[in-house]
Amino acid sequence: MNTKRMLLGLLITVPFIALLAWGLDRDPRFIPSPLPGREAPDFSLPIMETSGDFSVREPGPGEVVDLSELRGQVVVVNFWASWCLTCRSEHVPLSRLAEQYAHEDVQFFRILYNDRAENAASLIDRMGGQSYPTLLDSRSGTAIRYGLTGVPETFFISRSGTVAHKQVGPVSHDLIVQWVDRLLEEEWSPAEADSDEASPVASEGQ
Amino acid sequence: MIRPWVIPALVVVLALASPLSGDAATETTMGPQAQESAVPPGQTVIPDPDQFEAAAPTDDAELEAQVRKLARQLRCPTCQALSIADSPSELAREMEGVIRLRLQEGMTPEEVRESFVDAYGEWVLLSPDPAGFNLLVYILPFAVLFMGGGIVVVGMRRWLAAGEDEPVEGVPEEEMQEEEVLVEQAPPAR
Repeated sequence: MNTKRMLLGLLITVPFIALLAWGLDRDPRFIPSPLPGREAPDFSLPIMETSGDFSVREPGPGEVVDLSELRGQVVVVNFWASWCLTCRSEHVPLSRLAEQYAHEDVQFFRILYNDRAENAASLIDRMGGQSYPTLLDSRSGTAIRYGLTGVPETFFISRSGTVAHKQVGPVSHDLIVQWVDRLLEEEWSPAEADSDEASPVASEGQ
Repeated sequence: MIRPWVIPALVVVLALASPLSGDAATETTMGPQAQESAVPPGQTVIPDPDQFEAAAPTDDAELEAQVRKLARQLRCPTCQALSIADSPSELAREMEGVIRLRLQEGMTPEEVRESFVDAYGEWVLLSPDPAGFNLLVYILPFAVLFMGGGIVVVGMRRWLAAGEDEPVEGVPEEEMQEEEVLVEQAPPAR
């Protein structure tokens, strides 16, 4: 009888304890993203002009970046805002790595979220410029299509246009290198491209 | 001796106090916390008057009713416990604006709902669809309630039964046995 009671007690308590143990190392506010492994939502966003240094790509004012035209290239998309203190810590590694990978098939973009362009431009200027473009996301349509839950968030997109990884919170130099190198090594056939255009910058406005 | 139903009761109490119901901080932020100074004189930026202005409510009562209905079904990623209709966050207002725009573009309410599920996962639905693994959410509370009730009833019955068999304090056991014999031999009451 005692063995039966013990077994009954274990049958009830073990699943509860397992549930608690499973939950202990999880952030209850973490939102799992369905995007990794799926095609990245397309965007066509204007480039924000700043007084910063665009020596790597030199995009002109009023031009737009169309993700669908970037097939064959690894794309790193970082959502940020000038009021986000954590986002500032990403400025140096992202800028340096954008320069480091300038001659490879890698594109870096920052998308401004819930912020004024003039505030972002001012901050970029004070931080010594930025070696890659910031894009303007009017009404946060792109941010919502990417399931943004906060800033900073960074998406690593493969040559075939698939979201390979979503990083919630700040990205480090090592993490960027790890994902970019891994995605550059992936085989990709030009036949997979949706468009023949490889240039990230279109001449038309949005 | 510890009753068998005491352990599950303790576990339930522990579960209610676990970090799953806590409010841990995340590394991302959603609102302007430290606004920067305005652009220096001479700075050129692309003029964008619509920037971060959510699509404003319209005079179309039917459209606005659909927007509110959908907004009540979707969870705000910032507040998490609130729908985007109830949340005061900037992101919730923008999501509501996106709902309005997508309905105006001709998407059906179901398509709009699915577009948010595509971006945020089923997490974004305050009431997940009762299918597959989600059924657990609907069934488990009743199953636990039923099991808990059963355990309490069985425990109470055994406890009461054990209380009847226990000797009365101060009465010798021989006297108790004699009394039981007399009760058994007594004629039935009319």
